[in-house]
Amino acid sequence: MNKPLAITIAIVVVIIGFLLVYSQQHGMSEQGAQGHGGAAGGYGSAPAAGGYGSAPAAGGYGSAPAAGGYGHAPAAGGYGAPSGGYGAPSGGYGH
Amino acid sequence: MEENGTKNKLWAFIITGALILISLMYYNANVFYMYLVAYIWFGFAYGMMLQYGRFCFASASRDLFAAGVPRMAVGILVALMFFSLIQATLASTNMSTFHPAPFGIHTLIAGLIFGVGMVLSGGCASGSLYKIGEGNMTSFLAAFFGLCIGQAVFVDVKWFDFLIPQKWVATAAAKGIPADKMTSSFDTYLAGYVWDQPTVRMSDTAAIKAALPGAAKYFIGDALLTALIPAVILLIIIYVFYTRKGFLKKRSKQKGSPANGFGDDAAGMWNMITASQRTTLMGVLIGIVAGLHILVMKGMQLRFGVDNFGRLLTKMGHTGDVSISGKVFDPGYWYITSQEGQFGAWILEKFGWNMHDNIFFGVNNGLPEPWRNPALWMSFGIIFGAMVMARLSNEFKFKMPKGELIVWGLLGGLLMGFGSRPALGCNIGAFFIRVAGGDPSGWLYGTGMVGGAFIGVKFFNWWSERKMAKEMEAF
Repeated sequence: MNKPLAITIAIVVVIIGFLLVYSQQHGMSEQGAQGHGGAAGGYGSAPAAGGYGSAPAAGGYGSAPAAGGYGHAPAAGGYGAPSGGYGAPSGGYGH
Repeated sequence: MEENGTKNKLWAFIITGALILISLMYYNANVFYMYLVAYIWFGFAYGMMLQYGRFCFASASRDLFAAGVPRMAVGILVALMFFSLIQATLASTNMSTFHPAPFGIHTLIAGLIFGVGMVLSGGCASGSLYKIGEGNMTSFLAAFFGLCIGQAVFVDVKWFDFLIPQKWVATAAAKGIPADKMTSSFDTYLAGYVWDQPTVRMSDTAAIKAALPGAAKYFIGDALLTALIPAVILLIIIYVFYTRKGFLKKRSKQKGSPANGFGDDAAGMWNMITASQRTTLMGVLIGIVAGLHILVMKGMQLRFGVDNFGRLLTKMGHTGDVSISGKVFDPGYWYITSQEGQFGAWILEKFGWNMHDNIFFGVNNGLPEPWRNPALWMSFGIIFGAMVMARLSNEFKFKMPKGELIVWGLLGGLLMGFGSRPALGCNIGAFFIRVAGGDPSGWLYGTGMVGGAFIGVKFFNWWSERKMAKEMEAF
C-alpha cells in the first residue's frame, strides 16, 4: 500500500473513530450546544421528546403535538418519517 | 508519469484537508452540525471503498449477464451478509435507525425501471457517484439530470394523473393533507396507495416474535431468514450456472481424477468468493462501515435528543429548510437518491419552480440549503472519497461523454430517477439496506432490479450487434 493512501485511510479511521465515541456520549447535548453556540449562541439541551412538538400518541397530520410545531414522529398516525422520507415507520402511513 | 502521480497525491491531500477544514467550520458554527459532519465522513468512507472495490450494481449485472463473470455480484452478496449481522446486532441493542418500507407490487415495478436505467447509464445510484469521483462525466449526466433534476420533476408534476385510479384520489383526499401540499400525481400515489400498504419486518411478525423472544428474533428473523439464507442460495445459483463447470474441470485436471464430490463444490464456492479479494474485502468492509454508520447516527440522535436533523435545523433558526412536519431527509444510514432529488428541486426553485407544493418535499423531506442538507453531504462525501481513492491509485481520468453515451447517460439517469421514487429508494435504500434490515420488500426490489438489468443488457447486446452490422454493411 502506498504511503499517501495509508495516511488517508488512517485519517478516515481516526475521524470515524472520533465520531463513534462522540456519538455514544449521550446526555451531553446541553454542554456541547452551549459551548459552541456560534452564530446562534447555543440552543440549550434538546429534550428527548417534546420541545419541538412531542409525539402525539395517535392521530394524523393535524393532530396537535403536545407543544407546538408539527411534532416528532407520531406513534401512530400522521406522516413524516423520523428517518427515511416517507411517512412514519412507527405507524402512520408507512415508510 | 511520476509528475502525474505527485499531482494526484497532492489533489488527494487537498480534498481530504478541505473536508477536514469544512468539518471544523461546521463544528465551530454550531455543535449540532456534528450530526451533518458524520454524514460527510461516512460518505467519504463509502466513496473510497466503492471506488477501490469497483462496487457497482450495474457492473455486477452487466458482468454477470453479458460476460458470465460473477465477481461483483458475489461481492455485493458478501457485503449484504455482513451488514445483516451488524444490523441485527444494532437492532438487538436498540441502536438501529432502520425502518421497513411499504410492501407491494410497486416495489417490483420500480426495481425493474431502475434496473434498466442503471445498465443504460453504466452505473447504479451509488456507482454513478463514485464514477463521478473518478472523472466520469457520463455518470455526472446521469446523476445530475436523472437523479437530481429528473426526480425533482417526477414528484412535482401531474403528467401521470392518467395512471391514477379514482380510488387513490379518494383515499388520498381522506388523509387530510393540506391541498397546497398535494398537487402532483406522485402525491396521490403516495397518500392514496403507498402509505396504505403494509410494512413487513421479519422480527416484527407475530410468528417470529412468538417463536423467538428477545434478541434472537433479529438474528434469526432479520439476518438469517431474510438476508443470509437467500444470499447463500443466490451464491449457490451463481456458482452452479457461472463457475462450477469451469472450476470442476480445472480441479479434475489438477487432481488427475474426477472432481464431483461435495468437497470439490465447497472448494469451488470458496474459490468463487475469494476469486477477487479486492471486491470481497470491500464487501466485508462496506458491511461493517454501513453498520457503524447506523450506530453513529443513532448515537447522534440520542446525544442531541432528536429523531431528525430537521429538529436541529429548527433550533438553529433555519425553519425554511424543513418540511411542515419539521423534518428534512435524514435516513440515518447509507442512502442515495432522495437527497439528489432535493438538490435538483433546490436548483429548480432558483429558476422559479415551486417545489414546496408536494408531499415529497413540502411534507416529508423539506428542502434545506445544500450546505445544510445532511444526506446530500453524504453524496458529496461519496464523490470526494472516490476522487481521493482514484487519485491515490492514479485512476482518476476526466472523461467527457461523446455521441450516444450522452443519450444513454441521460436516459439511464432519468429511468433511475423514476425507478427510485415509486419504491422509495434505489439499489442501496430499497435493496441493500432493506434486505439487511429484515425487510423482504428489499428482495422484491432486487428481483425487479435484476430483471430490469437483464433487459438492459439484452437491449445493449441487440443495439451493439445492430450497429456493428450497419457498420459492416457500410464498409
